[in-house]
Amino acid sequence: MDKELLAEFLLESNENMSTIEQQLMDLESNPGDASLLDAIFRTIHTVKGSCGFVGLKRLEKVAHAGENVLGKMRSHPGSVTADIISLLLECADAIQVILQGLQEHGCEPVEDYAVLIEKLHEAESMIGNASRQDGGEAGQGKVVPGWLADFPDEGMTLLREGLETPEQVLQAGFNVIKAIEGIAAPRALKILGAAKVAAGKTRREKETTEQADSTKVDREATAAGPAAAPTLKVATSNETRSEPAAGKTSSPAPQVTETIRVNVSLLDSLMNQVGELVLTRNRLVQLASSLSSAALSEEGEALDAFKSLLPLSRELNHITESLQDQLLKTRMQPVSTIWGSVPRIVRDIGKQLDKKIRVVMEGQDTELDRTILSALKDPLTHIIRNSCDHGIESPRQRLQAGKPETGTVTLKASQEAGSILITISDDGGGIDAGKVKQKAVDMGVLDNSMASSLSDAAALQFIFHPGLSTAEKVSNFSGRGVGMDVVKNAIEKVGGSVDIQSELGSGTTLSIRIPLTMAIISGMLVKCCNQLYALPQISVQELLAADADSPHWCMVAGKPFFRLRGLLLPVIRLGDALELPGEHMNRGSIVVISAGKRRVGVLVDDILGAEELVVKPLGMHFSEIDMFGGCSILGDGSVVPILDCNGLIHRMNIPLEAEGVGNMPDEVQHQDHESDKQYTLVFVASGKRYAIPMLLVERLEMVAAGDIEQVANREVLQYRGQVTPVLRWNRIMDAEEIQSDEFCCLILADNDKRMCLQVDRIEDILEAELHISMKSSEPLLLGTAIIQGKATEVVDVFELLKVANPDWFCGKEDVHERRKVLFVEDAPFFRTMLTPVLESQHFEVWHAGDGQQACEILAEKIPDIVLTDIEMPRMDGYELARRIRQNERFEGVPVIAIASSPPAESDERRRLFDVVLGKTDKDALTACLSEINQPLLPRNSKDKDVAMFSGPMLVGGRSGE
Amino acid sequence: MNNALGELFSCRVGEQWLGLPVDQVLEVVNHQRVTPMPFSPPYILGLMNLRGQIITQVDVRVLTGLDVSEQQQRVYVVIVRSGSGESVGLVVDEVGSVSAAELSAYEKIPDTLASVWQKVGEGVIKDNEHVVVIVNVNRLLELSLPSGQDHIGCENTPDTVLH
Repeated sequence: MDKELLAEFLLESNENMSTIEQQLMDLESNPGDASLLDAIFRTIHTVKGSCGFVGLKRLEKVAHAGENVLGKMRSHPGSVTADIISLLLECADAIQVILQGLQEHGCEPVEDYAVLIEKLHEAESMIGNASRQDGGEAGQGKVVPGWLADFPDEGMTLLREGLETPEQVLQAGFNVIKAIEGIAAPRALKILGAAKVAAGKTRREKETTEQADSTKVDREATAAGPAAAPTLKVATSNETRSEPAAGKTSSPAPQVTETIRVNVSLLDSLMNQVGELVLTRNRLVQLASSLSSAALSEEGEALDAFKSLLPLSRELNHITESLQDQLLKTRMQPVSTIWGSVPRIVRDIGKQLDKKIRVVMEGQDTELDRTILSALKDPLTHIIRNSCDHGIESPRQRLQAGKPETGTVTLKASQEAGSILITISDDGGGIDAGKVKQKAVDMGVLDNSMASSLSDAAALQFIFHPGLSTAEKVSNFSGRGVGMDVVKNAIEKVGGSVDIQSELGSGTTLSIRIPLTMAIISGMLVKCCNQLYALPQISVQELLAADADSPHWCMVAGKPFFRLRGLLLPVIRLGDALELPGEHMNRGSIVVISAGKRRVGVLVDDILGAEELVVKPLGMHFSEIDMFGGCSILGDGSVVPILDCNGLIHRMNIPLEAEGVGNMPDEVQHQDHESDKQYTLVFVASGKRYAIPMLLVERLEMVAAGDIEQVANREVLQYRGQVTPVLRWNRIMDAEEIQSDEFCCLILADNDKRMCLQVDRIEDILEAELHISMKSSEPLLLGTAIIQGKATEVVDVFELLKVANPDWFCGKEDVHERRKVLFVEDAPFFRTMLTPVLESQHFEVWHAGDGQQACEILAEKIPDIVLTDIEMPRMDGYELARRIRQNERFEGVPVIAIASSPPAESDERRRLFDVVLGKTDKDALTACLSEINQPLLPRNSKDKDVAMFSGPMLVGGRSGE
Repeated sequence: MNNALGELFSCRVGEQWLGLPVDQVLEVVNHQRVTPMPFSPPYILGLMNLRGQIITQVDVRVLTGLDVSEQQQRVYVVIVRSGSGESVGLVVDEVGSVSAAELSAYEKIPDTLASVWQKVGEGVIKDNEHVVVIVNVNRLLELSLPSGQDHIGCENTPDTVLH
């Protein structure tokens, strides 16, 4: 099985499935919500469809059965019942169990879910029947349970009385039943009899589910009615729980990645030992190299011993490195390890409090030290509970406030400027700062006068005060007054900080910032005043050489700036920033860093390179200095401080005006000359200056003389697997050629074709106005321009390319007019699957996530082909095709449908598409596309196109041409 | 003051002998390479790597107002554990021994001692050779923190140099 494909499938399916529970619950409370039902159907449908691609038979079966039920539900409005929802939930659980199995073992669990599938089939057939039987009454949302099948009329009456299960009926007793209007005494007796039998069955069923032949009993039990549903659910979950064990005995699970728990203090000491090992290694390496050089004069055994010492030290070096590496990794875990339980927590709370809440999670793969992670787990759970309980309002309140009924809790994790940032936000009611103040006053933490002068933002911070909760009612989940102070303490314990922002009416955001502490980062080592410092690589954008005499330096208002591609980059001299002794000049190298929205250059003496750094916390003496994010130990055992780019910028207090100055000239330039200025390369050949636009210059290379080969009467160079023609500028210009071992060459590239232009020397690359003041008579030159105050000949690149390769521009039309395909597909999985197929056919692919998005694209431009999925949110493929058909602009644009379950042959809607293909039938798609992608037909032959694809076609095949 | 009367680890700073509660002293190492940190007061020498642990070196001699240039160059680093559990290296001139402090030898800090010792001392032990100031390590470290700087700043006038 393709691992990458599987991983992607799992990722997407997990994402989809994480919401399905909630969606099903929502559907239960909103049985009439057709769009929700559609959404659930799509999810299951996508899982099923993708299964076929990845070859997961069992999962496909389960999903397929579920999909069938959902499909039937779509065509029978009013068929949503509590039973069916629990059955579908069970189906979703099963899918999740299989997905989990796939994730853990890399293969499907052995359980085949025959029982569940059977039940789903049962339910599927029930849907149609029930609605036929009950007629109008089915609108009530209840189906007469199976055990009452013989008493359809009385059954509905009983249901209305709330007597659903055989047990309930038995408990009610004969007198109650016969007293119910519409049930005659003899019928009541019979009903009781049936109830007795059914109840007996359910009891028996409980005992027998684990037996192999449980399928049949189960089917009866399902028929026996809703009473069986809860017990069945237990039984099924028992089965699934015992499943992994069974899986292990029958087939040793492949690709199992085992995890172990390690005492953290043990890990810490191991870590220190490794540190010592590194030091010892260093000594050994040093000793070995000094000995070996000293021993060269000696003879005999000593020499041999020394000789073996060197490889030994290398080996030690190697072992140490890998040991260090692996040990470090054991400490890191993705945030998803503690986020896994969040959707369930939210669902449970939502269910209990009758709220509709969905969870959005981003950045789950952000890695954190495991100690920090485990310390964060409880605070996180608490915050999420708070958000659900106090933040998100009830659906009614939300609707009144004009918000979507379903509240959203968003979790985000990211590494930002050297720290891990986790935010938990909800779009709920927000926190009333006034209430917080009042509460604080009541508790005596704050007096009235202070409270009135306190800003709302400051008042919110009282949330973290012990014993303060603004919830009016204490609930199961939060609001007991223990909470946010504990959260804050726990986060601060791992060196983090927590911040709260809230806007009354629109939501609350809690930001947890965890400093680099304990994390491993990639750092750029720089030298300043003979001292090493590290900058988090994540903030580093580029490195520049900045010699003292560089013309790019300029001083604005006494502050250094560096001109970078026409922009003035504010520069911080690290020596100044760190208040290091000595005078700091504009000389050295610039590390361009970004922090937040700012971009500044940090001037250092030297850049040593990037290194993986284990971040260690700084001691209490440095807690008030915000310029350091921690420190690390280098290979030689020395300590290097890690600079915090935010702190650095903050410390330097680059005034906004200075930044304004930095940007303004640039903007002015752009306004004035944007159209005229372009990057230009100036080269020198035979003492003359030539300019060539950078647009087509792909690279500058030094080419060894030997690499240029003579083929026929031309010179070529093998460059990136291509035979590239070489032109020597001096030869073209009939100037004297300089003999050298190495040539300075420009690689010009256009549309995958390259040529190599050999010149004497490259002078500069600059942004200049190519204003040609004197036309040239030379065919290869456009004329003369003044660049940097010197007369410079401007090369006519296109003529040059023609000289290099006369066919350069032939066939260009083809490439330039790549045919455009609008690919409408909601599942990222298929998008990633099929895009390469399309691109391999030289199509330019425009993506749309659904029909609506496609329409937006179509409003702007016209594709050559539309390739669309059928099942999509917002606007499906039929509607899209209908709209395309109705619009004259798209006359002759073939619409190809790709569907995992194509509409039936008889379906009229099929005619909306020119071709209907199976989603997984790559070959048919390729064939179909290559048909369309024939060399462009003259515009007037559109009719032919249409003829080619008119009428419905067979799935997976093409109609006769 | 009972807690001050346990075993004391003695070390010398300038001419003053100090006694550190032995349960807060982790080990003594020779002076090692330090990485100076910007924005540090002169008594924070920088960071050292002690078997993978980053330790801040505090020069007790500078902290207590001694002129280091006159001091010997060979120094020791006493690794102590602060109240918050962090290990800090105290740079001293000489290390002595561990001995039990006897209640009979205990006295309050004499007024004649420099004010810095009044701040960090719990009392003195007089033995045959020296007057040993029993140092409250936590208070000593507090003094070395940026926030602690302010209150020694005003009192640590030149005449408080050791006798």
